[in-house]
Amino acid sequence: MIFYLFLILANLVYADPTWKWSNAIKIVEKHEFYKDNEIISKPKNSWQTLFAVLYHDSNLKTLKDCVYYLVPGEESGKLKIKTMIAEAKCETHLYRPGDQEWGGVKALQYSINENLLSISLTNAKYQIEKWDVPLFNVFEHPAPKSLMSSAEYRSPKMIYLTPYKGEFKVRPQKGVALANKQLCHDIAEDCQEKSPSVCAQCSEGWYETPNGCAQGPKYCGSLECGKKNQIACRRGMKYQGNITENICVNNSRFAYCAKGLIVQCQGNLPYCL
Amino acid sequence: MLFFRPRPETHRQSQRPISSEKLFAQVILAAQPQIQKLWEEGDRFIGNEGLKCDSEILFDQKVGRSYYQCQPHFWQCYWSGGVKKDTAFKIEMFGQTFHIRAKASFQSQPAYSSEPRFYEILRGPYQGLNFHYGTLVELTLDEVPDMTWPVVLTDTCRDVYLPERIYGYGRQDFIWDNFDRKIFIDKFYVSNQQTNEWRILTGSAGKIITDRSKWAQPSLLNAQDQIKYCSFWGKRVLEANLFDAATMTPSDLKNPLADRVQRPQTPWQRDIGKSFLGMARINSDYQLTPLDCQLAQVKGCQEKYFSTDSVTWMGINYALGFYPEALVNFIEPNKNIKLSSKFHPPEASVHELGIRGKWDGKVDPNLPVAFRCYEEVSL
Repeated sequence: MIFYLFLILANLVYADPTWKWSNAIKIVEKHEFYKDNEIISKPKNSWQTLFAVLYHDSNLKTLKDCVYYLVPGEESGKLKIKTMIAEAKCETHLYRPGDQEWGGVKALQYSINENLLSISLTNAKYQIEKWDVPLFNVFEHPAPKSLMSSAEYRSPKMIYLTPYKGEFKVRPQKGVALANKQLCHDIAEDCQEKSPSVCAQCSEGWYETPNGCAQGPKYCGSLECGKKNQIACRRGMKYQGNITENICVNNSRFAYCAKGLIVQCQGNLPYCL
Repeated sequence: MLFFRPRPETHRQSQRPISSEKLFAQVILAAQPQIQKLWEEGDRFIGNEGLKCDSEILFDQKVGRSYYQCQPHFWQCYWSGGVKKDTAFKIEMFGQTFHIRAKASFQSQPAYSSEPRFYEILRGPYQGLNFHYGTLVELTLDEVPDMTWPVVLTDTCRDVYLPERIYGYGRQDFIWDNFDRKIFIDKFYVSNQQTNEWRILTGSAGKIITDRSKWAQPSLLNAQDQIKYCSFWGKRVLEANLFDAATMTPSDLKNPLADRVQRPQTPWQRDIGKSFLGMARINSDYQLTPLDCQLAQVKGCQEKYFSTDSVTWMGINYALGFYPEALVNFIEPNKNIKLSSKFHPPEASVHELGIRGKWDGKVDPNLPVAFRCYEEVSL
């Protein structure tokens, strides 16, 4: 009984702030060296960024909670959390006050895996508090398979936003959509991906200009391929069997035009004439 | 020896959280399977007496159960008490019964009713959230009344993946492949209820179809509006080569790089002669059976919408029969409509895969043209 009372008091003292992280979408800026469940003891007397939690607030805006730790040395350790916009770097706030702080920390260890974020704190009275956060929104895109829907492929079935207290009207704010004709997936002529696809941010879909690579460059909007003087449509590479040469001037069969038109290469891009 | 005796299994019960926030979070998360089931399989909640919310959604024997899946109007109906009186989901945790409900916290939609809504349709993109279409709902717990959890329900019911393999187009010698492409095709025609949502979100609520008995029926738009509808959701109007890929069952499903590509005449049999359509061609007295009409709704069949009896090898419906379907065709641009439909008798030669005609893209009461969208996902 006394033990439970002790636990309750410990809970009240520390007031677990992590319930809102259940809707985390990603854990980022993880500390380079600390291992899961290692008691953090070095470098003493220094502030370290342990990790940051990306999550959506009730307005569908992405926020980031940076978690910092002052490693105990001559003085006790301190844990602090600072909420900022998703694009900001945790490092910029390393030495500034947090939104929430917990002083007198004697020891701290944490672990992050696919489904669970766990933090264990030992306070000045050597009471141990454990914060376990199930990570429901952290999502790895599955390999698509028969009968799978696009929704299952791209995100969790239910996307949890941040819970709120009291009266509050959710007012979803639009994200910044990419304009039509804007490059959303940059692929070089040698098939190297120059930057990851952001085509999900196109408001009206996207189209590909086939260049013989597994992935061609993509642009927001739509284009009627295959028509006269337009870019040709993607036909694929593997249907050609063992042919691996997809340099347009040598083999333009990775693209097709409407009946009656022929593929003409301009650089490595196939056009219809 | 006592050391080896079987010991009773000990169940470590998780402790009830002290903070109300954490308690709330744990209970709502525990209710996820029930919430998800209500959203994705709403039809399973419909009893023999159907639905009692005619001002929201109708229950009709001519409409298949798929219509009620991932259906925001069903969600509204359920939480308004149109499915059962006691709407709360009950969860037993920490020795207590918790009651989870959705909250009617969204503005009413005058085009539908003056009642506040239990959902709001979201159109992406949102920063960091990967969806084009989402349904925002809010969940509450009777036992922690001051907290609310907003959740986006994604539409997991609408489309289906086209496996990556070599495919044929039409009855010609044209083959292509979709390796390295993630293509998802709508299972059904776009319905009036779906275009109503689009109209409201684009500020054309005055154009919505208010007759709920027509909501499950295919939306009959002109070609330009079909393109606008699909691109509004980041999609495209279905293309002819994708339609063939989705309806012509490959002979060897296990080999995506097959040397020979089959071009079957129907989704169910390679040779049409062995199907009821072939029999009707040689027998002018052929009597349609209910099973025939499930496979392909042709002239003489009773109407049914959102039925899954005609499903193809990869999961879409309505390969033959039902409605004429608009198809964008980049290979033969003038062959832009699937002709097989419920307006032709079973013996008609149009009831065959790969048979297409030309549509001028205009709405014509004598030729209702349905459509569906597809999406290619780039991550």
